[in-house]
Amino acid sequence: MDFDDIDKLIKERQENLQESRFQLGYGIILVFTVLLVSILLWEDYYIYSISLSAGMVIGIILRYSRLCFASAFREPYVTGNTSVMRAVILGLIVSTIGFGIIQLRHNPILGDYDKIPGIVMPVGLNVIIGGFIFGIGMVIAGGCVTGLLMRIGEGHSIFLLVIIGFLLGNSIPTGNMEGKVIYFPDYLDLEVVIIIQVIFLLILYRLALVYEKKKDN
Amino acid sequence: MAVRKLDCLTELCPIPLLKAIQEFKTMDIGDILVIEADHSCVCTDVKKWAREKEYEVKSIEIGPGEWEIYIKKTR
Amino acid sequence: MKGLRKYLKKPWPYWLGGVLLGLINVALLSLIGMPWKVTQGLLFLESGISNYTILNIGIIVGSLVATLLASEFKIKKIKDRKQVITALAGGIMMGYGAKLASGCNIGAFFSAIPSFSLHGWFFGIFAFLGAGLGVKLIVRFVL
Repeated sequence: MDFDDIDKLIKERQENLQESRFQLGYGIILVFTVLLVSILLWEDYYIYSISLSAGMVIGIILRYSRLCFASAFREPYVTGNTSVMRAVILGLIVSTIGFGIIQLRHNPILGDYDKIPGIVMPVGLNVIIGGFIFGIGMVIAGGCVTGLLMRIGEGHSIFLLVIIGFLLGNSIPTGNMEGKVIYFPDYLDLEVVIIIQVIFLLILYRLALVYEKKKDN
Repeated sequence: MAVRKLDCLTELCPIPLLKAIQEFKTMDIGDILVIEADHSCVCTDVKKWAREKEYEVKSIEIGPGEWEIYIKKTR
Repeated sequence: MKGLRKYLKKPWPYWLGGVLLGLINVALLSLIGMPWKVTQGLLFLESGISNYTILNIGIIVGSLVATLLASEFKIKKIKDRKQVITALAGGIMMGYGAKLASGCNIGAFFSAIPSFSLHGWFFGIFAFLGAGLGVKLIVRFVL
């Protein structure tokens, strides 16, 4: 009794198992419905049209790759595995280059951070405390905000409760602890910033890999 | 050889994996753990862990979006 | 048909998901001038329906599409009271954290770091530390 223990159990189990229904058809109908709505919105509501189809693509990517941001932050503690974290770092490298090129073509107005393509916000105690609490919350809830949307699509009703919790939490008033905007291209040329950030992310990728190997042994 | 079942239906990551790790501590070599789960990430999550530990692992789908993961404590 | 079914069930590797998400974020920024955000779209009760609300609906639909393509859709019920409490507690913490940091780990992290804003890095570091505490809490109280 060695290699076929599991196979034997599985075979016994599968004997009284019916193959589940094929749901592919519904999936295809849904894709075409969304595309149709996007086309109808295209002319008058261009931004909505793009948002809807981009959202669908993001949902498909998240579900198919099982990529979960909560897992990226959590797995290094639980098992020492960093594969999800490294996937997120790869995504950051790709978007650093992409956002960088878009920002290079943008004519900056000094100090007007709202106009910069991307999200530039003040950093201060708010981000530090907020990030920390968010980190605890996403592990306890079993998924971050993106993950919960993905899991609602998968049929998990528990995440409707997480959304209610999220809205409750979001209505708690916060004190004023806004900090100062630190936008790297204010200090160095944007081209240099892009290169430094990509190199830094590559180093992080490498460190994650080293950490994983070390935990393994 | 003993077979243990772990019902993790509707449980979310990382609870099934943490439960499996806990269960494995009290199992003998050659024992098999069967985890029932209905969340797609649990399947990949647990299998990834088992492969890393070099345990024998297989999974079957027992219904739409419901899986059984078989892990054998080989060492 | 059997082969197709198997193919549609197969998960993609993580790295592919990461790279594709990075690419779609760049596509969003260049097509509509706004990067990917999630939190803002959830607050439609306060600030009305924005394009991010539509994007979030798109994510739910996309995930449903992928689940259906893999023939894995089933509605999953809530297990017990413990699950209700953890879901609510986790949700409240995420909601409050996202309000403080003005964004979740998409808006304040995945779209903020590529925008070359320091706040994205701070959010990432402290969310990572928070996740460590979260794991400890789960092991201690939930398991």
